[in-house]
Amino acid sequence: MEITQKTRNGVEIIFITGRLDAYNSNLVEKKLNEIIASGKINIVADLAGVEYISSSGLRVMLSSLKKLDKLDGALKLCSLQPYVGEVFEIAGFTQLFEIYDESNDAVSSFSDN
Amino acid sequence: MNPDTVERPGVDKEILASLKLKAELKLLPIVLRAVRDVACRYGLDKASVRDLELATEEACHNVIEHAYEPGEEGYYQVKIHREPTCFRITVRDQGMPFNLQRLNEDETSDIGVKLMRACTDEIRSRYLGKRGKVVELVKNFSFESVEDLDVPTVQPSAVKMAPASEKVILRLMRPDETVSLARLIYRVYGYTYPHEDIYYPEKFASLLESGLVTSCVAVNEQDEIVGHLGVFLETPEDHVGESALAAVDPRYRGRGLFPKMKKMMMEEMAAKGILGLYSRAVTVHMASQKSNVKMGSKETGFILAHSPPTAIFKKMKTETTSIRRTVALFYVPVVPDQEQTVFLPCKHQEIIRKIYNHTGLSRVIKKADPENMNLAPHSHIHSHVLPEMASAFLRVKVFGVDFIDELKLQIRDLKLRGTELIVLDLPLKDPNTAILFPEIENMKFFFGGIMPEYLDGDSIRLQYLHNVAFDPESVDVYSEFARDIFDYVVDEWKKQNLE
Repeated sequence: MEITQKTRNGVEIIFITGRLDAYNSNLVEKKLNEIIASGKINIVADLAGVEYISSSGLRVMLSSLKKLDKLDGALKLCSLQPYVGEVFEIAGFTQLFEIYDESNDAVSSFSDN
Repeated sequence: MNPDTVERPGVDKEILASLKLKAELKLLPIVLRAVRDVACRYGLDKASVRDLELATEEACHNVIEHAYEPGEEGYYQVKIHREPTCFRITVRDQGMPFNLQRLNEDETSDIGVKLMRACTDEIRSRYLGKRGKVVELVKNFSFESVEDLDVPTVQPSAVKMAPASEKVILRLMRPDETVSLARLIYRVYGYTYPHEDIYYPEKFASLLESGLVTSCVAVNEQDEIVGHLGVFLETPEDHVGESALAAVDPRYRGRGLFPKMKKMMMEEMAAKGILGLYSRAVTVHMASQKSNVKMGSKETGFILAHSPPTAIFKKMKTETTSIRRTVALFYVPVVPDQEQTVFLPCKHQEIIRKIYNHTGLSRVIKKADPENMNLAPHSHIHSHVLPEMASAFLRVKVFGVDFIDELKLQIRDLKLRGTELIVLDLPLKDPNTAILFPEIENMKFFFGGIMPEYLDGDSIRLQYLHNVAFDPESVDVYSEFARDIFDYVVDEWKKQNLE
């Protein structure tokens, strides 16, 4: 599991590579919690490098979304691989998250709001 | 497809891997890696491998999170099974019981359960008494339906008989001929044949390769299949097979192909060590029963409300009602019968004696002694569930001290899953069958007949109908003897219905 981070136009982008399964999800959760604790509330998770996600990965995303929502921020997703997109769909999470094809679109959507 | 992937080999049901692990999250990747590698190497396609892996993760994570108290040392076992038509993963633990029913609830808010259900073709779960609980995840191989193939249809009015001079020979069927067989079945039955596997040529080929199905075909001079008769084994250990899927191309009728194929299969199965063939004849008309009688098969019982219209049948909208159809049970030995001892439940002694006389099977009938009951520490009830038929077939292999509780749990579980028909076979060579019989009947099972040699010896076959309408008038019975058995079975059904 590899997590990198960069800032673009005031938006934090985290790039996740690997498997978002029960074993690895806590690493992503820790990273997202660190970013939120530092006061950054507009976040994009780029999932281009994620080929597998289970309910544990979904729960981490949902938990961060709820935290940011309370702070008037948002967690948006981009670059989902087809299988990961299907898992979001099955779980009904495509209704909860804003999902973009590219990270640029996800970042710009914050200024559109 | 992974380049390491090998062709699916011709194997029976087998356990490919078995892992026992401490219920700790850090060991979970080992399980998932095993599922991924094994399923991929044994021919499951990439998307299905990921589905199976995801469902397995959800099931195992559930055990790791909820089965054991914090600090409690617990283990769980994962087995990877490969069967002719599917992969099956079992996850078993001996931790805290939790509500397995939620796996089958129509509406669920649990994300893990949603994913498990979306990623598998079937989920089974059951409690094993003191041995804990088990969740089974089934993923079928993806087979192309014959519906997707270009199958020309032949209208009955357009049938032109083949010239009498054209030669037709009989031989065993090869796995590469299943599309040709599917075309024959389509010509004869359309999409109305209740055994759906036949409409999935690759699936049927896999059954042939596994040895669970042996087929005799009649082929014309162009090597086209114009007749078929199959024998199906439910498990590789079975002593009797089911004679089924009889079909003769309308262009080649009147040549006596069916009796010739049946004779060939009887010899073939005898050579394989099989003792006899049973068959289930439909009762919406008398033709199948008549044909069985003509071939020397004898009636041994009836299963009321046995078959629902199949999914494909429904899709074709050729059936206007959803009433389950009754079948008559037939048996014919393929080798000389060996005398054996049976312990009959008192209540049904007379009818069973009559059936034995009718079939010509020689049995020494003994009385079971309730004072000398000998039960094993655990029961073994083999379960074969057919969700598409809303049916389950249970075979008792071993009576244990927990038998009644175990059977009750299985029935409750099956009913929750929408099972409408439960068929239960009990070994007649085991005196426990006769001793426990009244208690089993009290659970609303009723007599259906006997199945010679079905369970390492004969079995008495019981049935249980759950919320199923049955109309005795909808059944056509061919012979006088069959009428006697049918009336007896209907009386038993009525008694259970009135209680």
